[in-house]
Amino acid sequence: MSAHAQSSVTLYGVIATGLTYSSNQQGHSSWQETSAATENTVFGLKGSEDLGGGSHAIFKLENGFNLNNGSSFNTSDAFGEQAYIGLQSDQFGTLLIGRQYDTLNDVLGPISAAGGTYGGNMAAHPFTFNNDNLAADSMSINNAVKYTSISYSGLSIEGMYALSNPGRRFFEQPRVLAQSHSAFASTIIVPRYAPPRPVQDGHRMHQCWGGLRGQFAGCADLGSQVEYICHT
Amino acid sequence: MKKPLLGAALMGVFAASAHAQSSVTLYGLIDAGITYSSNQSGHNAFQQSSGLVSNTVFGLKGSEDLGGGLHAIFRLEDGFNVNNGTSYFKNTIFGRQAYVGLQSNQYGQVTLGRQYDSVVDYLGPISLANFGDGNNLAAHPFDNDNLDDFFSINNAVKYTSPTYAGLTFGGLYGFSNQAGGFSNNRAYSFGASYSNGPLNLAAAYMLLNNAGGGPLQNNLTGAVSSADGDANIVSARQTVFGVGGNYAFGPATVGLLWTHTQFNNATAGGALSAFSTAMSGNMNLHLDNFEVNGHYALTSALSLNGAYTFTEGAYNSASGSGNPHWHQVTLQSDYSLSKRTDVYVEGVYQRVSAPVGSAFSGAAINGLSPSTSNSQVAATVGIRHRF
Repeated sequence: MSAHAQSSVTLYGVIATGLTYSSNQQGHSSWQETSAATENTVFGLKGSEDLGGGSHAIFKLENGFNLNNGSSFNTSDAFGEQAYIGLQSDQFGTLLIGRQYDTLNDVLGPISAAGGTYGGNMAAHPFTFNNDNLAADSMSINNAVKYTSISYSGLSIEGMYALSNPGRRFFEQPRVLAQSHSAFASTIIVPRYAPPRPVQDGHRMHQCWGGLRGQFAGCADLGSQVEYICHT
Repeated sequence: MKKPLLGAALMGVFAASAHAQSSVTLYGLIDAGITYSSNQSGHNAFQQSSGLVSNTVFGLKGSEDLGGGLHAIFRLEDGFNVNNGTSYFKNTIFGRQAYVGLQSNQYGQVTLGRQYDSVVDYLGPISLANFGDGNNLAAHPFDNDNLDDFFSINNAVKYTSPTYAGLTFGGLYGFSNQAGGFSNNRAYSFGASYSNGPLNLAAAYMLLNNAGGGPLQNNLTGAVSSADGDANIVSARQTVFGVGGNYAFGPATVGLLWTHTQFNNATAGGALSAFSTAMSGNMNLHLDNFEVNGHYALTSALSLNGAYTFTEGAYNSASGSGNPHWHQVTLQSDYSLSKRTDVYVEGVYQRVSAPVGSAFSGAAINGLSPSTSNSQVAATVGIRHRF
């Protein structure tokens, strides 16, 4: 029962907000209210279940948001900051799978003022794009498998690989399947591996590639060719 | 003088315990793995997958005791992809289920909101596609009968009866919410299940009018919405019905299921744009899915699960007609590390028979891009955790 009680989910968060003066942004000084200028403003769920024998099932689901307007930091994300699940062993280390910070951020971030909690995101290295991704609000990596060893006399090792996830998995993507369903009036057939080409789709032009990557209804597979069915 | 004091003290205790029962519960399920597929648009692929066996969700639920066997209940549940953090249902905050209602021990339950249809509620537990054992990959071709709960019904009012000697029944009506178009993009559904010891039986029916706005693209966001990606197949009318049952022999359970799906005037977008070829107009399509499935518990932690599905279809459209049929085999082994955490390995093989270049000539396991040949294999290893 005590193990069960320990393994319940924890709801947590960090809120960082402040007023920021800047000397020159596109020719003007400005006063702004900023969210996450230092630490990321987030809320999340995390948990650890004791599986016995020094191993745990762990997870974290964390979303970043802007305190000043309530919007999600990453548009259309449910848990855009971090989302992972994995197994942790006191003997063999930790294996995680999901959307995660990269290894530079994990290993060098704590040594940098940008990734630490004292300088924070505004202390990121130039340019505004945070060139080495050390700041806490840096990008996260999708489809990532990460291994972190246990500490051997203070030394630990970490490595990560993120899959490209080729192909189309409609039940995983935000499902934007609804396109125009009006009557189809014209059909264009191009070779499967043809370079991108513009295709007229009603009033709009689309870039279309070989394979099933058309931006509108009616891309179909004909073996060696790809058919684009356009409506007018 | 002591009695009233004792009474007051007891009332205080009861009030506190009732209050504790009615607190909100935060819950969820995370399913992630690595999947190999033999042929998607001509290439094999290794991919990281989310929710291939069970839907990856988090949610809030609660029940407040109103006294006299009556409860106020609610559930707010979102589906998401653990590998990139995105919401599964576009433009939603609780896209999988969101409802509130009253539950009476004597009269049953009435709920309002975004909910599963009766095919999912009653036939789902009989199918490997919704058993928690096979789910998305094991769905019938492009989840044509929605047993894998690809979509939920918006604006729905649902009744679920209490269980009378093993019998439970219920129904749902999803409003179109369109002024002047009461039946334009509406849904209704009903079903029943019977459970007696090792035996479970179920039957269900569902009808959708102009799902996703229909061929005329009027009222896109009714009972089955295009805005959140639910309207995977847009047609003037979709009918689904089926019956099934299973029986437990000690550690083994064997199930049989038949569903029939009919699409009238289905348009070429959505799932059909990816799964069919040579389709240059709207089509009428019907499919019969026959599934036999089994579950065997080798130990309390290790189980073997499998299903074979034969799907027979017929379509006609301006560009021709045909009678495709599909064979699909799913095998899975699952090992529980605890009651809440398990690891699994699953393989799916699908073979389709349809003339090359015709509609549906490429095999297409649910959730993958179609194969360029008439067969497709998927194999996945993953972990699942509930909280």
